[in-house]
Amino acid sequence: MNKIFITIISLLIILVAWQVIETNADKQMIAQNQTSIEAFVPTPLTIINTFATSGSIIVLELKYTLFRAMVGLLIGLALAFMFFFIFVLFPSIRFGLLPLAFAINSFPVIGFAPLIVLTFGQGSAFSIIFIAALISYFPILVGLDSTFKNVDKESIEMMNVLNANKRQVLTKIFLPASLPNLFMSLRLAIPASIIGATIGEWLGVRTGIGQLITVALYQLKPGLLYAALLSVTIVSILIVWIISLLEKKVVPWKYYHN
Amino acid sequence: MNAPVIDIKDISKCYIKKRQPIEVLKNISFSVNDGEVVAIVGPSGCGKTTILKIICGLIKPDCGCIKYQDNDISYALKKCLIGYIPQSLSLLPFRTVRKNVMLPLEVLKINNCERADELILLCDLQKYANYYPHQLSGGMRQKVAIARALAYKPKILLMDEPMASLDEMIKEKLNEELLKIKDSTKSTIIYVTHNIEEAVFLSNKVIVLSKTPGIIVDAVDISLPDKRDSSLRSDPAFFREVTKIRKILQNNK
Repeated sequence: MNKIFITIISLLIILVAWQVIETNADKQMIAQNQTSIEAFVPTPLTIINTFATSGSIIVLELKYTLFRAMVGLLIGLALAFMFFFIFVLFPSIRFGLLPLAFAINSFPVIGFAPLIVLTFGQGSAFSIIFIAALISYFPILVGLDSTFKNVDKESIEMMNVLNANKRQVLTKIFLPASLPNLFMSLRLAIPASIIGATIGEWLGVRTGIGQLITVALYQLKPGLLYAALLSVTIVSILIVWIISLLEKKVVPWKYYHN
Repeated sequence: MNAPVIDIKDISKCYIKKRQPIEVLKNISFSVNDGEVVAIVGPSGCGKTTILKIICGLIKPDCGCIKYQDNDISYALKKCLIGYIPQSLSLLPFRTVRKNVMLPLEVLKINNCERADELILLCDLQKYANYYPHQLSGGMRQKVAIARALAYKPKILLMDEPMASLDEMIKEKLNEELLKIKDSTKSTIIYVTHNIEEAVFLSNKVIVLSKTPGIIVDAVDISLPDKRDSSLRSDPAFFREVTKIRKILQNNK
C-alpha cells in the first residue's frame, strides 16, 4: 500500500511540475513571438482534456488495435508452442531449428511491414495481425525453450524407467515446467504485440490507434497523439497485471513459501 | 536365502571421452537375492551410478547380461518391476508431495489414489501431503522420493546415493526408517553409497568397487542379524564389519 502511495505522489509531483513549467515557458515563447512548446508537447491538462472530448474515439480505435494485437498474440503463442512441442518430441530437431527461430527474430519485421501490408492488401486487418504475431512469437519461444534448462535430465530418466511415452514426458514434465517461463515471456510478448499492431496500423488501415496517431500527427494535434499513446500504455499495463493475477492461480508452486 | 532375483554377469562399459576410451566398468558380476539389500561402495567416479543405470536400462552395457529371475532384465523393465531413485531425487517442483507420489501411477495408468495415500502413511508424510518439494527439508524430500518409487510396487528398488546430502543424525534415522519400509514392502534394494557405515548398517551384502576401471574388489557378506535398529551401531560386530570393508577399500587405493 505504501509503495503505491509513493508512486502516486511522485507521479503527481512530476505532472504538476510539467504543467507549471510548460505553461510558464509557453507564456514567454508567445511573448517573444515564437512557436509555443504546446504545439509539439501537450501539457498534462491538455491530455486530460483530450480524453474528455475525444475519449469515445480513442476507446473505439483502441478496441480495433487490441483485437488485432490479441489475435496476433494468440497466433504467436500457437506458433511458439508448436516449436516447443516439436523440440520436446524430437530433441535432435531442436538444435537445427533453434538458430532458424533466432534468425527469424533478427529479421527486421518493422522494415518488412510495408511489404506485408502490400501482400495482404491495404486496409486488410490480417496484415496487422500477422505483424503482431511475428513480433510476439519470439519472446514466448525463448521463454518456453528455457524450460529445457529447468527440467533435469534425471527426471526424464525416471520417466524412461517408468516406460513413459513421449507424450507423457511432454504433458507431465515439460508442459507444467514451462508455465513459469511462459508467464514471464508473456509480460514481454503482450506489449510487443500491441506495439506491432500499432505500427502495422500506421501503414494502411482506416481504423485503430496507429491510424489515430498518424491522423493526430498530420493534423498537428499533439494532445490527441499523447492521449492515444497513453491509452495504449494503460491497457498494456492492465493486461500484464491480469496475467500476473492469472499466474498466481496457475503457477502456485512458485508462490508458496513455507 | 532365496534364489537370486537379479543376476549380473560380466558387465563392462566403456565411455569415449575426447577420443580416449575410458573403461568405467570391467567384468562386473554379482547377484542379488530376493528381499536382500545389497550396497555398492567405492570411490567417486568408479561407476557405481553406471551399474544402477545399466540395471534400469538407461545405459546399454558393452557386453555382459543381466537376468531377472530366469528372464532377461528387459522383461522386468517392461513390467515395471524396477523402481529407480536418481541421485538428485528428481521430485517435480510443480507437484505437491501427494501428486509426486501419484506420478508413476498416472504414467502407468493405475488410477489408484488410495495407493498414494497408503505410501504417504507408510513414509510418515501425512502432514506434508499438500506441500511442494521446495517447502520440505532434505530428509523429507528423500522420503517422498522413496514413497514415489514404491508407489507402483516394484520388486526391486535402485537407490543412487540417496542420503549423500543429509546430515549424520537424519541419515541414521532415515536408514532405520528405510529398513522398516523395506520390511513392510518386502522389496529388494540395491543401494549405492560412499558411506561405509551406512552400507554395513543397511545391507546383507556389500560390493566393493575399485577406482577406474571399476572392478569388484570384494563382495562381503554382512553377518549381522536381519532385525536391525540403532543399537546395532554400537555393537562390536558392526564395527568389525565396517573395519573389514574400510581395509579392503584402503588396500585398493
